[in-house]
Amino acid sequence: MYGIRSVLDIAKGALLAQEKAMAVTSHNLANVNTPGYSRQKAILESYSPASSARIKIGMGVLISSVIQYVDQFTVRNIYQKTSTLKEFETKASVLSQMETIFNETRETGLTQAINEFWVAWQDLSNNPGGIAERTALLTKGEILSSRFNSMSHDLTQLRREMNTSIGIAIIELNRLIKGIAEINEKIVTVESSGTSANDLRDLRRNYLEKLSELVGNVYLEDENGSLKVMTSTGVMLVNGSHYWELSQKEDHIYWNQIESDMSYRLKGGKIGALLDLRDEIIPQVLANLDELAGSLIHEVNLLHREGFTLSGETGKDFFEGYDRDDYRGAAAFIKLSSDVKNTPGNIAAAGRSSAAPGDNENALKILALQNSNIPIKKWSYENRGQIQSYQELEATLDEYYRMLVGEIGILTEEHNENKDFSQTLLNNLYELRDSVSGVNLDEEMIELMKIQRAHEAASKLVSIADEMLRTLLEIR
Amino acid sequence: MMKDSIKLELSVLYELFEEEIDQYNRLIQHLKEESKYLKEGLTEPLMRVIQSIEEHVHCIEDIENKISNKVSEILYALRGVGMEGKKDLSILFPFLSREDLVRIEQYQKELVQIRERVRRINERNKWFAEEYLALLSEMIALIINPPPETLYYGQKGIKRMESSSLAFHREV
Repeated sequence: MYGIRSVLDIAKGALLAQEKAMAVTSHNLANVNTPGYSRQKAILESYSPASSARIKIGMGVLISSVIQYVDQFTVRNIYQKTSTLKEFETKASVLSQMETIFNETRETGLTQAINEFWVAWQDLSNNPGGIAERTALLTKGEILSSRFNSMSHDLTQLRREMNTSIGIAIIELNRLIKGIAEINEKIVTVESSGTSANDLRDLRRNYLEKLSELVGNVYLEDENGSLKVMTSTGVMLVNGSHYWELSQKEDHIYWNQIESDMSYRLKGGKIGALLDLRDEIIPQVLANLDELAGSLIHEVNLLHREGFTLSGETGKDFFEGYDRDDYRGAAAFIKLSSDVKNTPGNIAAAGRSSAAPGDNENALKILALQNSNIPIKKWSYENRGQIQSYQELEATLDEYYRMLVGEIGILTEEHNENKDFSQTLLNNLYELRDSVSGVNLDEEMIELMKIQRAHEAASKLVSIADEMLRTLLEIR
Repeated sequence: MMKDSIKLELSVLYELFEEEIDQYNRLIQHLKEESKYLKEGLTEPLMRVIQSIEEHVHCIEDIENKISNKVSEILYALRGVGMEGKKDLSILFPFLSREDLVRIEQYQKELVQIRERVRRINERNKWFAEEYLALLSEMIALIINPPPETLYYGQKGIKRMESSSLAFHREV
């Protein structure tokens, strides 16, 4: 039945609805600077009209829902690009550290040590009987060896640091997946009771973005609003309120405490980058450094054994022998042999046993190594070290080392370029997301004014209805 | 003893190698510029630099043809007969002095490295271009393509909205 009371009811409903709409707009304004906040809007809907005789008259307004402005495609793309950016960023940063190990601008660079080693052989060939020249050569040989040793040590240390960083990242990943599972549970509870869980969804999106920084992932939303989150290779991390933690033990990463290494299934993001560095990039550089050191030991010793010492002995090594099938570990191992260490006279500079002290034949042969092409392997590691292949090169030791340093430089530059590009793309995507989800202050202020006017009109309706009632009462 | 005329021909060959290396280095600079413009999304300078890249590639092709012809000429001067089919540098190797051999090998090594560098920058620029185009597609899709339906969450649980123009926003 229609009457002044129903007008009052409509006015009351309108006042309440406008107040709720005002609360939503205020919430938007309050969160204008909140990272990851998505703009919300109260959706007003008219009450179904009631029939009075043959006339249908509306029953006022209600807030049917509060919606969020989110473009799922852009959000998904942001997660992917975040993973890519973090991967390049992490690699570029570690590669820069690696560049400092190979820093050739310093006087302590390996190139300098190699050059000084050859110069010492040159000096010895000029005065093969000179003890001062022999002692200087041993010193340069020791400097060269210790340079190799320290580079190998630094690279090994850098590789170990990757494990420490992976451990820290895994702790953070576990915290995030636990958080997502908890939010999933809350969202399901809230939304099953018919109310919206917009802010919880924002929070979950923030967690997902942070997770993407750590590892490449994919996710699916269930009918009830909870998420399944997997790594990009399909390892389940979260399913509704359940989550499966990762753990690290030395070089292995375990899923749900199952002792089977699954690190090869973690790709992208910071963790993916650290694993690539640990198992592929650093070991490849180390293998090539070992190849250089091993080849130097082999080639110098081969000639040195043929030569004769000051006392006419032969078959002596210059560097400690490293007779293995491959040169793995040679850079860490290289040192002067016990034959020559502290015994300069045992350097085999002469080519004949009965030679005069001026015989420099063997010293010249060893010196010629500086400009000789020798067979040397160039190692390539792929698929996190699962595939290790090499290319047989003919190069001088100096050329080989320059190539090695050049490659690290190029790799660093490439990763920096890729990082910058990914950052630019991500910034564009952020802008795209903000154009949809961001709070526009002007828009919200206009909305606020509209709501204020509607609220004023509803208040006026109450006072008019009141006056109408009073008029009726006065008639009686 | 190598004839003076052959020495002269070889010196021309070396000049051609140096020119080729120089052109490749310039090409790398242009490819780096291309990377920069792709990163910044600057289409006008990008088009200009692509034009320069094409010119350099033609120039390098010309030099390679000249090198091939020069190899043929040197071989003719050395053996008195021309060369048919393959005009590979290696065909000269048996006739060269050790000094020339080392020099040619040096050029070859440098060219192999520089070509690899060009290949890698090209790959990277290709990736930049693909990613940038994907972003543009996404932007265009956001403006013109309405999704079939979108979810939103209301007082009465999850609802599905009718498709509407997405010129300005999507609702979830």
